[in-house]
Amino acid sequence: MAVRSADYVLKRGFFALVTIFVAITINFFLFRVLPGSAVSDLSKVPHASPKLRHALTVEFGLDKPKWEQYLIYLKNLAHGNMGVSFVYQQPVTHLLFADLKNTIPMVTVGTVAAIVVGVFTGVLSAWRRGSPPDHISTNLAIFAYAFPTQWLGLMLLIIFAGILPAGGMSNPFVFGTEPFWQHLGDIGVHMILPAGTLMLTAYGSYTLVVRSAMLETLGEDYVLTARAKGLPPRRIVWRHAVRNALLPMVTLIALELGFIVGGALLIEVIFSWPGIGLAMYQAIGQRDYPMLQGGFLILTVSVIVLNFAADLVYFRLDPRIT
Amino acid sequence: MRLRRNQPATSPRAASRGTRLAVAAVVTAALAVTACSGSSSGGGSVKQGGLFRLGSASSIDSLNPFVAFQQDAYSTFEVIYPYLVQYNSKLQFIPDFARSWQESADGRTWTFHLQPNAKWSDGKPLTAADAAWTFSTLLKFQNGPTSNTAGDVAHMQSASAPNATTLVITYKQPVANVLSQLQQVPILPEHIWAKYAAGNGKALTTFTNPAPIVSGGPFILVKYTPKQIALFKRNPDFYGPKPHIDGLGLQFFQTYDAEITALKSGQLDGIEVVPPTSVAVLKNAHFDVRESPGNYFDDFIINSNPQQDASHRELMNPLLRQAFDVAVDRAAIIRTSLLGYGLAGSSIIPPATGSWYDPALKPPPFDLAKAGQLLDQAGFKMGPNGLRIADGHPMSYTVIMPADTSGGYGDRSFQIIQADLRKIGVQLSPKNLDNSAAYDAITANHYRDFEISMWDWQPLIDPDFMLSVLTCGSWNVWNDTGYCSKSYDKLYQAQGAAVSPAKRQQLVYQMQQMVASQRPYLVLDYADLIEAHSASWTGLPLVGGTSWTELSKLPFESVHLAG
Repeated sequence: MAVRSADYVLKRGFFALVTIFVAITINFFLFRVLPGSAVSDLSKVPHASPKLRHALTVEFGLDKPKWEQYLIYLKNLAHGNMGVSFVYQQPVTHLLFADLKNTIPMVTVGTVAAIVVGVFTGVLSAWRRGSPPDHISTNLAIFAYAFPTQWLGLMLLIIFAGILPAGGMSNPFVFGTEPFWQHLGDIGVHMILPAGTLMLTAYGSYTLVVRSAMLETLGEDYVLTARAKGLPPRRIVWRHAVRNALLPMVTLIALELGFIVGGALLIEVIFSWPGIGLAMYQAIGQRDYPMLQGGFLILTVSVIVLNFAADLVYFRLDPRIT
Repeated sequence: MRLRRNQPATSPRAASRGTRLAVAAVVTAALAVTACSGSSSGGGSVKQGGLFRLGSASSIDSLNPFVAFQQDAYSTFEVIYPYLVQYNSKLQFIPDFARSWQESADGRTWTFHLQPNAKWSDGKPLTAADAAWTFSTLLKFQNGPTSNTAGDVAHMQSASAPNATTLVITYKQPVANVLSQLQQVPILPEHIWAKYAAGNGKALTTFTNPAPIVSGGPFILVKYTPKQIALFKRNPDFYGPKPHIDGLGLQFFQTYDAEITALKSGQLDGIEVVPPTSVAVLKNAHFDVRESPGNYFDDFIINSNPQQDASHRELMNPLLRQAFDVAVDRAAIIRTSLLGYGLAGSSIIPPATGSWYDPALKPPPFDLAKAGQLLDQAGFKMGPNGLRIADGHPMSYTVIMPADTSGGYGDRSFQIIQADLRKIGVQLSPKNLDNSAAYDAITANHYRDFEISMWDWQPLIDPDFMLSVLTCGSWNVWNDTGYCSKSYDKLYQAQGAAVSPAKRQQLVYQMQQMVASQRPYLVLDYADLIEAHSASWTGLPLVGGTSWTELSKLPFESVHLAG
């Protein structure tokens, strides 16, 4: 067992590292093969001259051959240095950390709520298969899943106008420092609409996956045996069926959690939530290579690490995996 | 195409420079205007206090003037830092930190007399030494860390402070737009910034200038959260008229929908830009909605490089350009795309610039029949599938659509032009690119490859910058047409050094006529600037079409609660 697990962890870990390296390389070259350049935007000042353009190119190291830029990038990365943003002239690590700090709570709340609601409604639907609650729940899930995020967000914005804040993370017009709990409550109120939109657009897929996995499990012989033994329905569902229906959920949740770090761009734009998705979107338009590389690196690493974690959980849950 | 500073529409003063007598007259008139504008301190019957909450769909990208890009950053600098001069709502120069100024007879030396006994918000004296240090630093590092503002010190030789209230600036040659250049430069506190200007000056761009900022303007920036909020409180030590409000708050939004919802539900007191689609809604809700002509234009760019690829060299044909111009239904564009909030375009210097616009230039009347005749006259006969043939190939062109123009307005305008040109046998196909990629596509292969593009311009107040865009020296930096003409360049140089305002105006008119007849741009329209605020506030003058502006301190000095 110990040999099997060490071998498995090493193998998956190696694959994860190789994937990260490939992603780092692709992140570097992808944005540089796009048409357009950072210098085009940054030299947009009155009376700019070709001399200024050249000076900026040299300053950003863009005059060096691509392979040399790549080596410098790798060397800096090895030292934990993601570079300095062309646009903001600030360290990328510092900028992205500030954005992540805003994104993670909102997207986590939305995603966790979606998982909880999705699992609950999925189990309910499967358990009451064919009943009106099943029909209502399944149709609602498909309906919510099919809504374009931007449309749903705007509708919620209009419906809750005057009741909930239209944008931002907290009451902006406070000169002093709010007491901690008041500030937390304030952020909570501002989070309702964006996290709620995220929950509504995401929970449907959980409902459908859980329902389908549960139906499969509920048809197994051991569930029939449990019923025959006269176990209470709640115990059959939560102790026997749900645990065995968890595998596809683990995959889905691991993938979704990876994207928490990437933020929810449309939601961040609609509700003016100053997160990392928005920062990436702006960086693409400005060809801010260090910001793009840093942002995509964080996104890639988090997806890969969470997939690695999913692999480990799979390994723990399913003894057949080697 | 937009400048790094997305300027609001404004218009210039009538004269950019003049004799001592003329300047003195302008200053006197300006003081009178200031006195009449109700912006003086003391209050009287004016209600004092309150926080004005303003929504913005833009943002502050940096609080460092050597790094900042966005217009909100520059409007912020205007209210927290001293500037030598500012504009009033009639777009004349009026005093700010400089109480008066004089120009030497040879036009190369400018002497500014500054406010005495002024202080920064940390209590340190605010003197001519700060101003001299600021300009000298801009000069010293203009090819490096301060290149962002290099245009503001063009042709400047030196800046010095013979005493605490006198600033002397000398130029290498007479410059036509000195006050316009200086109006764009915030004076920084030397005691805060000097240490960053040591050595190669690189630290000037890495200093974040965090809030609370040592300020010298009517407000102090006390709190700033990136992408969320900037909060300003009244500066009790300000050298000029004290604002009536206690503070000003600026909240940033990413969409107009959220911003307008916030205004309507009372979470904001005003918003700086209203899209035309929301005007009726806000008017019905009894908001004070104000429209004014914008210093902004939308244009169709026709490749004007005579060396362009032979496969579309017919685009140089003056008859073709004239045909395209009369085939643009400007009234339909304004009606459909701008919902009536705009004017038909005719010149690259918009009418909102007042006397710089040549009134002799009129928008060409829409006439498809004439457009067809002109193409016939050029020898472009109709081909078999409804497309004309030019030099052996069908008249079918790709139009580069940058992100600035794609979306609602741009797409609608493009479709109107596309449908009309199709009727006269010309096919247009859009190609959407982001701004950076669009500019690179236009300039690719020395402007030989692109055919047509559709973009916009937000010029500066003074016409110098907009006119510079078509010069040969602007290739690969600002020039988006491939136009290059020695005679045009000569006129450009001449207007930049024209001593007499009347002479300069004549040269500027001549250049506009040249552009209108050669048509590197077909100017489509001038969109209005629209802003709105709650009726519970009053006394908020527009300067250059907007109140939250980098042109003047007046609006937020004078705004106050109604009643």
